Amino acid sequence: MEFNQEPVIFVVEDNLMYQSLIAKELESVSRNIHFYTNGEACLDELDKAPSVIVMDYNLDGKLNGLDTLQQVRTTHPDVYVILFSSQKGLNTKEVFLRYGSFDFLEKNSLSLRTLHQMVDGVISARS
Amino acid sequence: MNLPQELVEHRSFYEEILNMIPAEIIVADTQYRYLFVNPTAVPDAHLREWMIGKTNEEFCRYAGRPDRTARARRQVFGKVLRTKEMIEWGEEGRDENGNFQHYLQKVYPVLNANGDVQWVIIYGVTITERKEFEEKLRRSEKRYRDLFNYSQALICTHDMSGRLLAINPEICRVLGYAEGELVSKRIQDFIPAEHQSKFREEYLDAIRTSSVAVSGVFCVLNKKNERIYLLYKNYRVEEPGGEPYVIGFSQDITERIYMEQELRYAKKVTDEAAQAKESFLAHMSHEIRTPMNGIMGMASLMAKTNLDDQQRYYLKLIQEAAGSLLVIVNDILDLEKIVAGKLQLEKIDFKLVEKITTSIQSFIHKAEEKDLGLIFQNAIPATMVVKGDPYRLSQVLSNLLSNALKFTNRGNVTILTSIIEQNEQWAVVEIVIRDTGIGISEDRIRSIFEPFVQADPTISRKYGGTGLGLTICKNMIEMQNGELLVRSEEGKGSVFTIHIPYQLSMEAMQDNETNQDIDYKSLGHKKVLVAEDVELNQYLARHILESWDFEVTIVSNGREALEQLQAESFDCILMDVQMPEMDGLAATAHIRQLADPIKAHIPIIALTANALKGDSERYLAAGMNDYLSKPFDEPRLFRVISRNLTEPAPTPAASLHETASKTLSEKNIPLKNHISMLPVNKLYDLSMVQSVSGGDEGFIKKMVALFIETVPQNLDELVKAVQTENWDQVGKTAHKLKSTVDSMGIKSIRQEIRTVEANAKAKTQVEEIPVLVDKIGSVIHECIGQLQAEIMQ
Repeated sequence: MEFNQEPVIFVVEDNLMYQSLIAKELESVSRNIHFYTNGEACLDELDKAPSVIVMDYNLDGKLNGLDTLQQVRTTHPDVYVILFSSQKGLNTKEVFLRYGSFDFLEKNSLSLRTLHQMVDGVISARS
Repeated sequence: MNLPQELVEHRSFYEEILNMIPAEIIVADTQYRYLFVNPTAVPDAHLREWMIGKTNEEFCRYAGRPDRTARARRQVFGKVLRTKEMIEWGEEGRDENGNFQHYLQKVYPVLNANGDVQWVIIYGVTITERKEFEEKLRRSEKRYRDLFNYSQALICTHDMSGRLLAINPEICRVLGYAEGELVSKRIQDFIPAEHQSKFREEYLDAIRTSSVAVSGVFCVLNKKNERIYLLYKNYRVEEPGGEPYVIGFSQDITERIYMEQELRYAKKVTDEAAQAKESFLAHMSHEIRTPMNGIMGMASLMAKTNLDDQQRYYLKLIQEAAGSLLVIVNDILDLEKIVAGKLQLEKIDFKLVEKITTSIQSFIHKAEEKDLGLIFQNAIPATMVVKGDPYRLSQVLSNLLSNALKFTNRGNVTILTSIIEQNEQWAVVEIVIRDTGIGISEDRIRSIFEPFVQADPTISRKYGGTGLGLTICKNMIEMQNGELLVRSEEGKGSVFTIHIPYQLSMEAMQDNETNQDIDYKSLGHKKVLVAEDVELNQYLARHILESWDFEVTIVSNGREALEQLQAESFDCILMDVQMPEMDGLAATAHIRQLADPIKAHIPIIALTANALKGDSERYLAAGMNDYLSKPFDEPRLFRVISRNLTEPAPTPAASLHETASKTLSEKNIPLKNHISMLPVNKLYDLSMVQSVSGGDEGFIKKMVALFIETVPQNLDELVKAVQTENWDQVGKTAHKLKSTVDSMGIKSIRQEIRTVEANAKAKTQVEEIPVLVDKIGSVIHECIGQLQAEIMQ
């Protein structure tokens, strides 16, 4: 990563409205946010070296969030992945242990602010 | 006796010793004739001298002792001669001072070389003191023994290994064992296996070391192998020179223990039953709500079809019945949420007085029906904006008002509002609801806030209701840090008082409706048709509208309105909903089907006494453009009419609007008339978007545009997936829509979209999905309409 460059954040989210909400919420953290509606596109661009990936569970395309996460891990074990989803019945513990997510955040009307704090925390801890 | 000098000296030496010994010493020959008597035995020297050579009998006679004493002495004496062994015996008698004394006498035979008795020595001591002490001891021992024997307590002693040394009869009685079956057995032998280690650790080990009493409960088996519980308090006793042992006292508490166990069990059973009942109710309610939504959804769809008056009337009854069932179900779910601590309160800005007024307005009709006065005296500034949960406030008010009207048969229901405390940030609001109804008796008033309790069990038969309303109200008020108080007098009425502290909102709400100076003539000359059957309202409408230079035509039912419109042109219709012959809804349906497109699209404003949220949606769904709840005042009437008369001017400037309308027209959305509908009752809530935006208006616009742009497509996908019964796809699309619906705050289908997602994913009850999707579709399209109207402004 070049010196003084804004941190790279990936947002993988198929709902365009939610993309916008996340974008707005994170715009003060970084201006280097990339959006994807499916996991395949996100995997294609991992060479941009994201510090954080905000990942929904339901995605357009063949891969869901966990599939994508699993593939991210094979090449990028250190990227901080926040699973941000309203998907019911996800076993958070399993997500942590088996898929290597660093955080899980349930999507609801209050959690955008939490997401902001989480991402902000990760970025400042890693810089 | 003639003795040598040496011997005489010896003799006097020994005599002197014998004389000085504080014990009685008497020597007698084998005939019991006295040979020697020392002064302790007989202090009188003359008597002593006299005694020498006399027999026992002679002395007794002389000294006045009873014959039996002489005989008894002789008998002992004889026995000593015979057995040649020492005999010890006690004698009682008075001393020289006349005091009663006990003597212990030892009678020794002194044998000669041949083994024959030569002399007899009688040696005696006074043992009066010892005798008395022994007597005392005996008595006190008896007392203790009695205590031990007759005690209701179980008393025992045992050694340090638990071996029983002594037990009292009560122990035998309680345990059913004979004394011999217990003594020298170990206590452990009577303790059930599972209590053995506890006994060892908590008792035996403790009693060995503890310097104080050890207490607790033993469980022991009686002879019938039944469990007996003993509450004990035992002490270790240590005596010098003896092994330490333990004295134990205990009490049989078996009955108490069993009673406790039974009570505990009974309580557990009751608790479980209560819990099961609650969760059953909540579960049932939840199960009922989904099909109820189906019924209501279908009913509202049916209301849009062509129905005759009778069908429409029946449908109305169905909708009312379903509506009230839903209220009960929601009550139960609310209560369950409250009990489980799951109820979440909103914290949004709202106009307090407006909210209270709306809540009250929906009861005007009900009050009119029962011919009751509904009086609202407000002392809170109308402009006050507070932060809090307006829905819960209105739920509580509706509940209290509905109760007040339900239980009042004549007189008034009065609502008094005021601020009782205020600083810069907070205001404590008081809302008093006073009725002149049946009241609540003193003994019942305490329990009316309990769930499922009504003031009188007969009430539920007479008045209906679940008895949950007040519980919910109280809980909701208390969750907002307020209080709900009640005062009542049977037969005279009740007063419910709410106190809620509200945080004052710093930002005044933007409000384009509170223009103080309205130019009522700004609309010019318009022709208005008023369909209204109540004369007072007819008069009021005519009076107001004519003062605006309007031309007013009045009819008194829907059929006349239809005829009048066909005969003549109007700019707008004010239509009462409830009218004889043909009601407002039916008339609207007919008007919308008129051949003349201008007449068919005339703005129709519903006049309604019933401003329940669902009702307004129903009017709008029936094709009316807007609604106004009665009684109306001039500014509100003006605002409603003006916004419906103002032609939506083409706005080429707003590219946003163009995109939106293009999407709409392309998708050929049903319920077209909703597009022109103004956000009377906003179906969406942008507060989440607004809070994220941080005041960025452009962002909000972008979000709205995105919604209008993307949602119809999602909806189409959803409908297609439902049609092809591709439930996986339905679940996926519903999931996607869910986030959208949530972020736009479209609360009325919040649950529906979740039900669709859950049912589709689990492939259960999929038959409900089409109805729900239908409802979701129409609400979202209404939302789009409202949002577009908002953008145009």
